[in-house]
Amino acid sequence: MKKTVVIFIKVYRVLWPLLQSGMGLKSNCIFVPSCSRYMEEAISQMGVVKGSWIGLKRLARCHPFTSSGSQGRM
Amino acid sequence: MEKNVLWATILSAVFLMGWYYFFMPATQAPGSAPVIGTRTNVSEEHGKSLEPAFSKTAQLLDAKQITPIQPTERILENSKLKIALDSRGASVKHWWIKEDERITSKGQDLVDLVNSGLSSSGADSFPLTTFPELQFKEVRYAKLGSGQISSVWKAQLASGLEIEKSYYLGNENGLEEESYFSRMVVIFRNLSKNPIVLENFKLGWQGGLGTTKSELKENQSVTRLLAYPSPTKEVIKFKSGKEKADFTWAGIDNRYYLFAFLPKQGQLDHIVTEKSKTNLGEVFLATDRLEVAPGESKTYALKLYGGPKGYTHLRELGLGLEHAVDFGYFGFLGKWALKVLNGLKKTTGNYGWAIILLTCALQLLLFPLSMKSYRSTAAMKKLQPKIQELQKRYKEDAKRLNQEMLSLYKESKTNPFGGCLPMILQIPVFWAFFTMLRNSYELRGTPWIFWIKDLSQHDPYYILPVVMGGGMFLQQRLSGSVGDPTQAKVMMFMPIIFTAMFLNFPSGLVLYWLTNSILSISIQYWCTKKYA
Repeated sequence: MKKTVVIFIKVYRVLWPLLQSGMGLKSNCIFVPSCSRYMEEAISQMGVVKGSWIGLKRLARCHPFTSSGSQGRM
Repeated sequence: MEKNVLWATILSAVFLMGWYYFFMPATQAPGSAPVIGTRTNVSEEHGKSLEPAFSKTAQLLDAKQITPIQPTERILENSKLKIALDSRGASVKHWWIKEDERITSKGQDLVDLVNSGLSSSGADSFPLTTFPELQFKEVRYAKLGSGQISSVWKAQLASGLEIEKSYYLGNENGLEEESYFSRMVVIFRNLSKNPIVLENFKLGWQGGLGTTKSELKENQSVTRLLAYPSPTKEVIKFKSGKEKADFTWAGIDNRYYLFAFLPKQGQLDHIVTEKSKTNLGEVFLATDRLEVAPGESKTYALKLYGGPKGYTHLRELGLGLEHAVDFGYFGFLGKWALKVLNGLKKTTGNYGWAIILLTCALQLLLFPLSMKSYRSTAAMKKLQPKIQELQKRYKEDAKRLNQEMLSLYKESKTNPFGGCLPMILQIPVFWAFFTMLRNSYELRGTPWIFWIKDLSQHDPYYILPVVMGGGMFLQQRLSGSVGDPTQAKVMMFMPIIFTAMFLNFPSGLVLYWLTNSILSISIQYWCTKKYA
């Protein structure tokens, strides 16, 4: 299960830039590491349920009123 | 790792299949045509027999009409339409439409809106039929100097009900220029001494809607049954069922064509629709009870539109038919995009260049956003070694580490363009463009340069999709190290899958995607160099 989800995230990471550029979408990522890497690490360390939750919380922080920077620590 | 590779491939295939399904609706073999007909029940006098018309055909017909008669045909033709009428049910056997010169000059066959080639049931499923087993006789045909063409057909039921059906091309007074409009008038005359009641009388279009050859594969899935209620701005789409006929128009459409009835208000009570796996789609105007008193008559007059679905053209007609054009969920954006595209087409004289220019303009608008993004990514990368060093040094002291990190980032502040929100806001724009380019009749038959002769059709030599795949490959190389071998292998696959997926997309759409990709990659390359 854990492996499946991690692979899925990896595939997303390869796929998304291709779609994004073709769709003409421009993003401005404010976090390092990227949300997908962050979630991947969280899931492989804490399991699917807790890891996903932490990853989603990180995604929820990704809005114009968050100050940018490294949020590598969980 | 082998297992992972397998998983990755399966998952990506599943994802892409989902994507493919989303953009290119499932197709259905048009071979299995439905067996349908006008199920009109006739109850003579006081509703004694309610048998379906088909089973008791012999009872319905005059003795002389039982002997098989060769069906006759009549062609009505002007500069926009060529309609073939059939004596069986005074129905429409072919409804050819003459499109713009840019399409017809390429030697393409005229598009026939009647799906006759696909229906196995023959005359029963011809559109606009009334009593398909009844042979009508043409009693009058006239072609006036004013451009009006008329054809009047008559038949009589055993009950003594005479049916007179007239088709007209052009306006009565000949003032209206030739168009995709025609008119139909049906008169029921009771020649008997008793009241005659027709139960569940229906008149409509059936057997799906025909289209151009290249669209046949998807036609079944894009055929819609719809109606436009005047006070709102939205069309209502039907599956199968019965609706009250409170509409300006009702009809059937597919990607590029529309057939619509514009009935006089209150004439027929409701709309009956059906579309299923075996039924290519039918829409009827109907009434539960059509009663004609002895010596009396009842007249139904309908205006018919059967032609192309170009938004600009339909809008000019001012009848609300343009609402049949599907611009997707973000319709207002799609209409806006089409307007700008039409404007750019006027300046450049070419829809291909118009698409490229419009795409460039959008990218330019978003350029500051992407530049900022690449700059901060580059800056953050430069800081990474320092962060790692800090993390190592203050491993035990989390509080101190946070302080140090904060001071490192002290110049970073909240950014109104930061985060995923701006990107989410751009998705409707993309979707509006995608739908507009996919569905616009305006692009039909319009060239770009060299080998692209029709932006609404797939690239005949598949050059654009292959270049697009190459661009994706380049983009992946540019984004640098991949890390693990699984990802590297998946990366190799993606451009190939994408290319395969785009092979049959309209070249206008691929051109849009390709322009976006090339610009994105160039900006990425330029920014990475600049901020390295």
